[in-house]
Amino acid sequence: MNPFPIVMASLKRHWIMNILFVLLIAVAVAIGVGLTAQERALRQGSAQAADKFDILIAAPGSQTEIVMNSIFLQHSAINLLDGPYWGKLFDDPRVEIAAPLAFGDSWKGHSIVGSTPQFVTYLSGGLASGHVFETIEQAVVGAAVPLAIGDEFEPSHGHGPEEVLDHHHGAELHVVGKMQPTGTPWDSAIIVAVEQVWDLHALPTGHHEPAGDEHDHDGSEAHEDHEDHEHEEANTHDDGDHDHATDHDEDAHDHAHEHDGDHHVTRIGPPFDLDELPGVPAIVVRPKSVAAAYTIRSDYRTDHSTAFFPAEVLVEMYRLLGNAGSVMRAMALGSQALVVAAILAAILALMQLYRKQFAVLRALGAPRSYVFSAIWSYVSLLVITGAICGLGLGWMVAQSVSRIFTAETGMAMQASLGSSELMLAGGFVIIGLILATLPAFLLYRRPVVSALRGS
Amino acid sequence: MSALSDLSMPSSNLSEPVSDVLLRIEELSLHYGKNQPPVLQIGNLAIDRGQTVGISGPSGSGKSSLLYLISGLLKPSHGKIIWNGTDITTLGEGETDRWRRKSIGFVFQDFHLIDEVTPLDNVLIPASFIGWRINDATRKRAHELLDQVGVPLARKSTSDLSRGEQQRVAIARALLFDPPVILADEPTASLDDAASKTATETLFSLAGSNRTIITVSHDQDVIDRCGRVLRFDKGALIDDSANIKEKAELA
Ligand SMILES: Nc1ncnc2c1ncn2[C@@H]1O[C@H](COP(=O)(O)OP(=O)(O)OP(=O)(O)O)[C@@H](O)[C@H]1O
Ligand SMILES: [Mg+2]
Repeated sequence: MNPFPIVMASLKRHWIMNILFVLLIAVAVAIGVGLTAQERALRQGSAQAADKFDILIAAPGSQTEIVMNSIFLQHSAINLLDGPYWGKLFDDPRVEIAAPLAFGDSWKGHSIVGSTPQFVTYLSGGLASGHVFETIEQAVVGAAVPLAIGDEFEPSHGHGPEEVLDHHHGAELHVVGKMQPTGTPWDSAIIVAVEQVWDLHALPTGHHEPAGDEHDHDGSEAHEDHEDHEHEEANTHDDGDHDHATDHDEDAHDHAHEHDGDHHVTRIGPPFDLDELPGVPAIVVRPKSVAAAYTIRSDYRTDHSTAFFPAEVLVEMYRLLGNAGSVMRAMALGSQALVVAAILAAILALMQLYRKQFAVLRALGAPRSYVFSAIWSYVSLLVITGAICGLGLGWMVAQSVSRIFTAETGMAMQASLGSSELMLAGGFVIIGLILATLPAFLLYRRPVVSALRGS
Repeated sequence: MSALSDLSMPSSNLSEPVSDVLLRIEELSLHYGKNQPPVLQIGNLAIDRGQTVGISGPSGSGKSSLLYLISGLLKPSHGKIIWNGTDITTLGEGETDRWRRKSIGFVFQDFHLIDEVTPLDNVLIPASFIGWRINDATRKRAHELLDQVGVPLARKSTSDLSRGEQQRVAIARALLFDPPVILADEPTASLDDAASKTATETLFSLAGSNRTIITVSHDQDVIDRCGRVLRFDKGALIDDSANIKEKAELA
């Protein structure tokens, strides 16, 4: 038998209602598919972002906050780990790479992070173009930063709304290298020598420099900065008591050029001189071996410092995310159930209109099974079409959410349709096919003659 | 009619020479509910192959019920319905469906075509009960039937056909598998005079001499075309006569 002439006729007869059914099913499926695809994209993206950050060492505090600051570049005030506690990492035979991370400045919303040339090479896996910074006036930009080699820019203090346009440090930085895309928030970061950040905030710069430099620091701007930040964390968003006079910027510029002439910071990167080493928010450590990772972690879990594997923090974050996800999934499931119930009710009502048609078909010689398969195929076709549209719709929504997320954080998120989304849609279809037997069975059982008599 | 008392006994028509009985009904009754009077009660009735039988009677007299019973759509409370030697009341549902598809062509008062498919596909609907694909012979037959009932193949919209045309398409549909029997329930009641005439003409001319037509009708034109007329009242067969007009023609 071939019930499709009847199925097609039924689809055509109530086409508006049928389109509505398909849309409802599509939206219900899309919610579930979008949620799971998005959640997985977030996991994959964040795991990738944390890939190069084997161990983080910082002052005691919230590990989540440290991760947010150093891996996701979502800055907040965190305690600094004093120089003597982290400086010895560079002599540690278990350490392959150790790099301080100093935050606090930005340029047009892009974080400026102070670190070492070694870290840049490590993070980027070799630059896309140019070279790593060799002086404190030079910077390397992430792949997503709209600056080209040769460009100059002026960092400002703070981030986002707190980033005051005319509140510049008065230092002009030159872009000398561009990193390869890493698919992490660091793609939108600008990396400079950590000494540059320290110098800007008038902190010791980690190296013994020739004496008498302090006199060069006579500019009013430098003094102001000095007062503001000497005993403060370099990453605070404190606007300070800066005088925002209109000619302030001019002064700052002049001052910067003065710096260019006879700058006292001549060395960048390790080795550092321990007694000249300021505090930093976090240090990234790449250990030489797995065993080393564990001993380093335990060695730096002290009263003064904390050490942890960011991957473990992420796992904890995923767990929370998973909890939120399962609540949302339950809600999605609930909405799907509602949709199914509504559609089923509508189809049952619709079937009353069809009962005479099927009675006529029976009188013309159609077996009961023909009636059953016609109705079942009709409902199933709606469910399958809706589920396929829902997969597409969910994918599209997840894609655009990921794109927005990537644009906002720089973290590459690739929402894709994986087995769990296919299973979700497949599960919906299977439930739909099972429920489709209900109207099919009801009409299948319907006495032919009373339907024929009825008008 | 002097024969009335005689005809009130249904067995009377057995006294006539019966050459080729197609349908025999024995002690048939249909009840709805125990204490209700029977909707239909027939002692004995035989219909010959090739006969054209008109059924008339007031509303509620059981005419449609008779058609549903003899087509196997309704099971009688008692009695036998023997088609060609087979009592269809003993058949299972699947067998009954198969038998009905091959043996009976149904024509309804309100056509019951599917508006969303073409007239041709309406004629072909019974073919979809059997196989996935419709074979060429069946398709060819559908084309011929449409031609014979006077609905051009070029007409694609079923709902745009006139009512008369729609009923003729329904007749073509009933004839797709060339069934030996056509059952029609008020086939012209929803048509105007002119459309009734062509539909009646189509029904009886297409039926040919070998086909048995049993039609319920109040339409005198339809009744006049029947060789035999059964009258029912309150579920009982009260008159069974060879058509007066035909009798006159025979004389
Ligand atoms: N399911 C049922 N339960 C009880 N009575 C029924 C049922 N179906 C039909 N009847 C009764 O059976 C009787 C015969 O009905 P039927 O449809 O055969 O009449 P009819 O002669 O075709 O009438 P009409 O000319 O109006 O079509 C009617 O009185 C009807 O009310
Ligand atoms: Mg009737």
